[in-house]
Amino acid sequence: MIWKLIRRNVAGKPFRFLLTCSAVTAGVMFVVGIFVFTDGLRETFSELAGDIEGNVDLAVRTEVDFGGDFDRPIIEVEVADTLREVPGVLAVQPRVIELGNVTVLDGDDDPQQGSGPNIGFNWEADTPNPRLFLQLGRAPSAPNEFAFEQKSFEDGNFELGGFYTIEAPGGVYDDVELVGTFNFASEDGAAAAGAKLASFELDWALEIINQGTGYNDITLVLEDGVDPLEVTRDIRAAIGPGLEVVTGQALQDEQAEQFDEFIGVFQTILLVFAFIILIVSAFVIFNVFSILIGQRIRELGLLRAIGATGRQVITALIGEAFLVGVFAMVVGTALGIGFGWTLRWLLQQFDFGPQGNELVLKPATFIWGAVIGILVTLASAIAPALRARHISPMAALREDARLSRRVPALNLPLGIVVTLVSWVLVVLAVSTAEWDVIIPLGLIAAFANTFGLRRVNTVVGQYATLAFGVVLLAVAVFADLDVVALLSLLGVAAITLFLGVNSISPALARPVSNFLGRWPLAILLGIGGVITTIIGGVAVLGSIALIGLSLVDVITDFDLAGVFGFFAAFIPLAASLALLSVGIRAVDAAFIMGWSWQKVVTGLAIFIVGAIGAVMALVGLAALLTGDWGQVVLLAIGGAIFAVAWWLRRFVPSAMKSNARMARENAGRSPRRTASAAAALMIGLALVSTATVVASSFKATFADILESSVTSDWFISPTNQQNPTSGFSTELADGLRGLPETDSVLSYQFSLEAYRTEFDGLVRDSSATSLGASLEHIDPDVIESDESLNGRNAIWVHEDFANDNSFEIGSQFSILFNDGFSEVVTVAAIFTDSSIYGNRIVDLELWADHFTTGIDQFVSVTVVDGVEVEQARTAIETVTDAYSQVNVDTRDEFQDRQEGQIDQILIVFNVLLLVAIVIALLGIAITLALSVFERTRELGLVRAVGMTSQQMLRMVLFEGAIIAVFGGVLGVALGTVFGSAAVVVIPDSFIRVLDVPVVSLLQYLAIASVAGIAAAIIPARRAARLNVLDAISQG
Amino acid sequence: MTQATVTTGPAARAVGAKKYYGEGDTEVRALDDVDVEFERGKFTAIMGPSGSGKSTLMHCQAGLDTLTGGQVFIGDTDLSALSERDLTLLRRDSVGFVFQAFNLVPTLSALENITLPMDLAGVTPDQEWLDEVITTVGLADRTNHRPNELSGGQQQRVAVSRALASRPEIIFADEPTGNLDSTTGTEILAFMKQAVDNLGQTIVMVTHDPLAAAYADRVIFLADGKVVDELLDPDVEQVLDQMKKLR
Ligand SMILES: Nc1ncnc2c1ncn2[C@@H]1O[C@H](COP(=O)(O)OP(=O)(O)OP(=O)(O)O)[C@@H](O)[C@H]1O
Ligand SMILES: [Mg+2]
Repeated sequence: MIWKLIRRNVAGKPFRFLLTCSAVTAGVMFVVGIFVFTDGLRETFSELAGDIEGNVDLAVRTEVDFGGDFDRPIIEVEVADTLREVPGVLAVQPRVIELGNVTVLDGDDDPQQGSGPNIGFNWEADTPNPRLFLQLGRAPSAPNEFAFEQKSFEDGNFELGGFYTIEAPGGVYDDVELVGTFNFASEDGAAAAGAKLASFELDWALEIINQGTGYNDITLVLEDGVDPLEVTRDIRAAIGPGLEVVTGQALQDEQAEQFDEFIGVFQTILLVFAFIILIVSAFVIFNVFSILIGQRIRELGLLRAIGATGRQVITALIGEAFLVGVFAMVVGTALGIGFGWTLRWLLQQFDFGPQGNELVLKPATFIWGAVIGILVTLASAIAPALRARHISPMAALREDARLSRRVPALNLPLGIVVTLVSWVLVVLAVSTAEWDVIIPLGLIAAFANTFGLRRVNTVVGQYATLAFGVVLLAVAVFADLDVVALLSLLGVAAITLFLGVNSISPALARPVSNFLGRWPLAILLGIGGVITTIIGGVAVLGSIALIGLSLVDVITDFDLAGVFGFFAAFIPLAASLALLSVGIRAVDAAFIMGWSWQKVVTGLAIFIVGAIGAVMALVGLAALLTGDWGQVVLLAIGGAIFAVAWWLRRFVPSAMKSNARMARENAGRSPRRTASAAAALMIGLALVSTATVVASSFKATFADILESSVTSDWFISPTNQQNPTSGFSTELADGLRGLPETDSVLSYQFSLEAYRTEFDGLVRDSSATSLGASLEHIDPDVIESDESLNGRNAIWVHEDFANDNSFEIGSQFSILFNDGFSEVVTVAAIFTDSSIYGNRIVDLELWADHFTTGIDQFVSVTVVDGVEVEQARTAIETVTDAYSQVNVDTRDEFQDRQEGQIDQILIVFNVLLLVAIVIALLGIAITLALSVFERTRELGLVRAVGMTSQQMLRMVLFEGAIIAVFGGVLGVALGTVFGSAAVVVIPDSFIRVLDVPVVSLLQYLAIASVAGIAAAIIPARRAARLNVLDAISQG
Repeated sequence: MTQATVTTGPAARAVGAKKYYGEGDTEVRALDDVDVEFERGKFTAIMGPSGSGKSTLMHCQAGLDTLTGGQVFIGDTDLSALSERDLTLLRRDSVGFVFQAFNLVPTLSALENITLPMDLAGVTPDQEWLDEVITTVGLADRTNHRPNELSGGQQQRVAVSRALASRPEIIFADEPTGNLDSTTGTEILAFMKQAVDNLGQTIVMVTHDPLAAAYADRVIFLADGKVVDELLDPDVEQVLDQMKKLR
């Protein structure tokens, strides 16, 4: 019986059912898509690992104590000869490789910037089972020859037999002949993944990459039938200490592990966003179910009146939720598989990852789809369903039956105990200082605290969650723990605050929407609408041009792809037309809310007239002052015009239309609904604002550092900064030193795993520069120093590092480098600003003895007094022009560049959050559609007494905008708090200046208001098209 | 005393009005060639058995619904010639409505409900007239209440005030007292009668109640979509007799 009811409900209102499903479906789709995408990526990568390192038996390399492949010391050249003597060894292939700093310029001197790194390595002539597959020409066999990877060859302006310029750590080499092309790791070239691979004859590679000092590693192929263990033993005996022998399998595993790590990081980031998406979808689902049940109170009351038990009512509702979940699971999973596959395909077009797109479907993917689809839906539907149990049979008879929220019964002892337990939990969690304890315990404590306090006192209970969140936030800001613990505490505080604000936001909805629904919304809509209209208009023109171009293309060169392209060109047109119409609607709404066309037009006209009058009067006055009496007429007329305009000002009409007021009232009428419709958007915008505040503070910190501690005039940095090892040859700095215009030139190198401090055995990050000269460029706030100690074995340390280890000027300790040598260093200065160098700086001379890369990561320059900016630039560029991969910046340019990079990261972050925001908007759309549905009779009534369908449309649009801005205001406010707290928590070496970007945050609100209009368009159309007669006779 | 705008001719009329639902065997003639005139400044009641076409006539006459054939006029305006938008504007400016129930917008206060059509039109209500209407209806102390804080009778009075406030050509009321007890119903009827007699308003009311019909200046009887009879200055007895004949 109950199931029949459920079926009827679903089948009878298919539109409503689909609406309900859409939010979960979208959530499932994204999560499943992420799994399909990353699993596919992992599959192709793990095959690749086998291709790359699968065909050697053994490898010899230096043994390192810490750190990875980036700075493994090199092997002496002679080792290769020793290995050739070992019995059982068939082939010995020494390898030289540079990951990132070997650049080939093509015929247009274009540095071939792609998505992949610029890699240089030696041609492997000695390997019987090759991993380089020659495609065209021949292998490089002498100095000044190179072979290039096939796809890069095709992409750039290259010609076999041509001469090109190559930049390498050893310097810039002109006139290098391109003798051949090859594919890497597999015959078909799938593995390059956008990397630019250049290969050289071994000895020349040794020279230009490692400056002749040695190989990176040596691989061996063994004769058939020999025991690798025995050979390994013989090799060990032959090569002596400091070197290690590993199997080809081990190399392959390491490679696979590296790939895995990369994909893992990627997957984690994506899953964090998926998690956010899910929370947002859960909010939407919860809201939708609450509304649906609210709408059906009379029906449910009738069921109860004719004898259905509370349990049966719940079963009916949960059953419906279950159907929604199943639908979402099936459709969402199917869409998700398509989505993941498309994403992979799309990124491949940009050379992201190796070619090849297996569709890898693991059981976990489907399990997640099911868990999310069904469990999230059921979990979100349970609370509203449980409330429905209390619907009385009388509800069927009442006109305005409302679902009341049950307040838990007070139970003082229980409440006090649970509350106390929650506090103890927090103290315990914080005292462990472990993030994986703080997060779960903190959340449990938050729930316990709310549960407890609600049983102590109803009013207190309402604010319990919020207050708890505030306390956690305060603890995070003021406590002295390590950063990870503090940030996780902050995360818990954020979740708690979301819940807290959510539980009190119904109380806020009425007053806030009452306030916002007037001029603030009009201003936001006006600004956002004008911007959207302009963007939409430009986009429309652009897409029309695109259609024109593709039409020309079809006419001149008819083929199927062209025809397809022509039709595809209409998609952007449709999208930009939609954008334009949203923009126009928003502007329209703004006028109706606060401004009105008459007001603006007459106001503007009066303003212009007044301004002309004022200008005339001023000109007259000026002439008068110079003694030109003839201008007195001008002054009089101008003054009169101005006066009239001033007086006319009062007649500028002001209008506040009733539909705007009704929209505001509607938003305030069911505050709980407005609040929960807005909640999803609140979360999305809170995260966006948090990121914005952090990014902006990061920029402000950077500007502050540049302002207060940096005195250099010019900055030379590598164009590609994603790669920690990227830089340029040390020859560049040497060249700059030779210029008469430069006063001093300082080079910087840096490593995250530079050396071990032997007194505690920890691996340390460190910078290196020429200490003696560095103060002329950058002052890390040195508080104590002894300049006479500066020299090869000097070290500058941060105050904290010094205090922790009781170092003072003149203290000595030894550090162990990865090449196995240790050095004793002497503290020559103590500084307090760790934001530039980190905590330790050693001298570049010492550094160069242990790191053989020959790559500077950064160079700063001061110029001789009296040299003009452009003069200096010309001079510096005579040196740097030889290097395609460097930026030469003045202070301002450097700051702009760094800010640009931070902005880019922010954009990527916001794009990822966009999905969550879109789902949140979907939630607003659903809420409005349902409430239009619910208010049919009322809407019919106002239409009957004379509201035009245009006015009706606008009314619902306003309501969408009000809901969106309500959520936006809460979100931006919370985000600002979170962002500021994060800035405080993040160590000063990263961010030390708090900067709240008010303009950006207001922009977000303007965008939110316009997005609210966009979300409301479909429900508003439905409302506007209601048949008046049907509407009033319904019910 | 302010009078509704007086022009010559009936406030509203239907000429050969037809409204058919369905086709063939299932065709229902809700209005079958109805000719009727509603005199200006008069209180007209429409009566007839259930399903006789009373509501349909009213809806079509008021511009809420369109005819299958024939014409309806408000004043001199032929509604069949108007666009949907113009019909809406006509309703807003020239027609008032009172329904059986659910007359008011729940989010708006009583006063806001009363001025709603004028708000929608963007015109400022005539304050004096508004005060007069509100005082006459006896709602002066209730204007800031929301509908759910008012009794059913009070809600209907607000609805009547709304219809009166913009001084429309004509007010249509579909069983305005259908949901009320007899005392409250009587109050509303007396009030409407007063509006006609004292304020010169034209009102057309659909009702099943002979007592209610007795308040009207004229009763029109419908049966099977046709006007079958009419009474002038009716009393309860006459109406009852007539109704019995129609059954
Ligand atoms: N939308 C419709 N579709 C089909 N038939 C309709 C429709 N609306 C009304 N009818 C029919 O038209 C006829 C007249 O209906 P109407 O509502 O005008 O009657 P009424 O006189 O107002 O009755 P009551 O006193 O019960 O309100 C009825 O037979 C009804 O079934
Ligand atoms: Mg009827």
